[in-house]
Amino acid sequence: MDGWNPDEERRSAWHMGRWLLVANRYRDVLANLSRMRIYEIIFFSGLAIHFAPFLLGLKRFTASDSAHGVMLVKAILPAVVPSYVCVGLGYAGCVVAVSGISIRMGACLCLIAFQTLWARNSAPVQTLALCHSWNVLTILSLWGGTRGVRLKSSMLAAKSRRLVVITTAIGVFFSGVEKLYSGWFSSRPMTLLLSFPEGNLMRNWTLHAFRRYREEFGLAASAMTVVFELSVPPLVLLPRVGAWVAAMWLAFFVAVGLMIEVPLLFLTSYGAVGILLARHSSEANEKSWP
Amino acid sequence: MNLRSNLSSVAWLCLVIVAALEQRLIKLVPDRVWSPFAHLMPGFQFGYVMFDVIPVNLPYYRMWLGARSVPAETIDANFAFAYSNARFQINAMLEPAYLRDVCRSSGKNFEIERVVRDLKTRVDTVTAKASCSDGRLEP
Repeated sequence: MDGWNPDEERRSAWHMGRWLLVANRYRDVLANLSRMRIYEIIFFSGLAIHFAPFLLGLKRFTASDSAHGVMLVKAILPAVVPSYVCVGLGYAGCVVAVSGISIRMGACLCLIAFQTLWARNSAPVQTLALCHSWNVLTILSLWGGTRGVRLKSSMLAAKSRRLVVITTAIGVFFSGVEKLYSGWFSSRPMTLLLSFPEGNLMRNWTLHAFRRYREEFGLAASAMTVVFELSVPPLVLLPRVGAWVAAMWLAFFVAVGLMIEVPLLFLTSYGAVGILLARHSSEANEKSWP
Repeated sequence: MNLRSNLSSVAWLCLVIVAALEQRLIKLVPDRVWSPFAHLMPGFQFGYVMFDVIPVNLPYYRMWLGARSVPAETIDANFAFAYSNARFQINAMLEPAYLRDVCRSSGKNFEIERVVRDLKTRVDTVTAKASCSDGRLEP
């Protein structure tokens, strides 16, 4: 047969076999990652990215931020704990948590170090998603998280997982209640958001895509936001949470992230909770869900 | 759920509900009582930025590099992954001194305008102008 080279074929089969082995090994590691572990990795990575301004340019944020610092913390800590120590401790916490050495220790370090940075020098990182991040870090500090990538260890984190899910659900639900209080429907906030100038809070593609249907889309988006915030969080508390609830949760937060300029931390702390919602087959024996 | 064995969890969830209702609860406290403590928690100060109430007149900053209008992220060297324009506008709105920092650190000469947009009519009105040259913002 012309062009047939047995050596070439053997060599390519050997390469393919080697890649299959590598892929198989990664598949095993991924299969053994519990959902809580995946959430922890995403959450702490998001925290590290969010606080990168301090890591990349600490000196830039010293002049203008004094007005935003928390007075109490500024009074106690300025000379005692320099900012670069906080940055070092915070990032050490992220590494300890993401690597799986100790979630509790990582969460404690991040909570103390990043909250001190935020309180003293908040302008470059100030966002509402941080308030929720402090909640998650407190839960992981008090109740611990997973250890390593072993499946058995994920059972230890069942209580933390439940608390993270319920805490997030409460936050989202009351955000919907607050919208009703403030006259969300009569003020047509999403229509107003679509009138924002380019290069502001809305992503440019959203402004271009819905230019002609600003009124209609604004009204639909306003209604869908409130309906989601008031209806989906209570569903999370049901004994059996279907995968469709998780899918709705993820879809809502990804859509918000695609349309509005929100920090990555918003997606990694609120949106990533969707990963924790649908039950894993290995978690079937847990008695006290949620 | 066994209440006694989960007392700490129940206490935590009660705290979370109180925190979620913070905006309602603060309204029950007179301003003169609350204002001395307002600085202690930035979360309370900025708690209303949840797109609950969108202002009808939106102040924002527009940057000019020569004759070209450019997004803030091309001027501001500060890192804010995926939300650098929003970060810039919020920082500038909260603390005008931030613009001086940006001017000093950017290493670019640019003009900046403070514009107020009427979101209902979408008409822009320039309310102030400043220029940044050699790291100094004037006026």
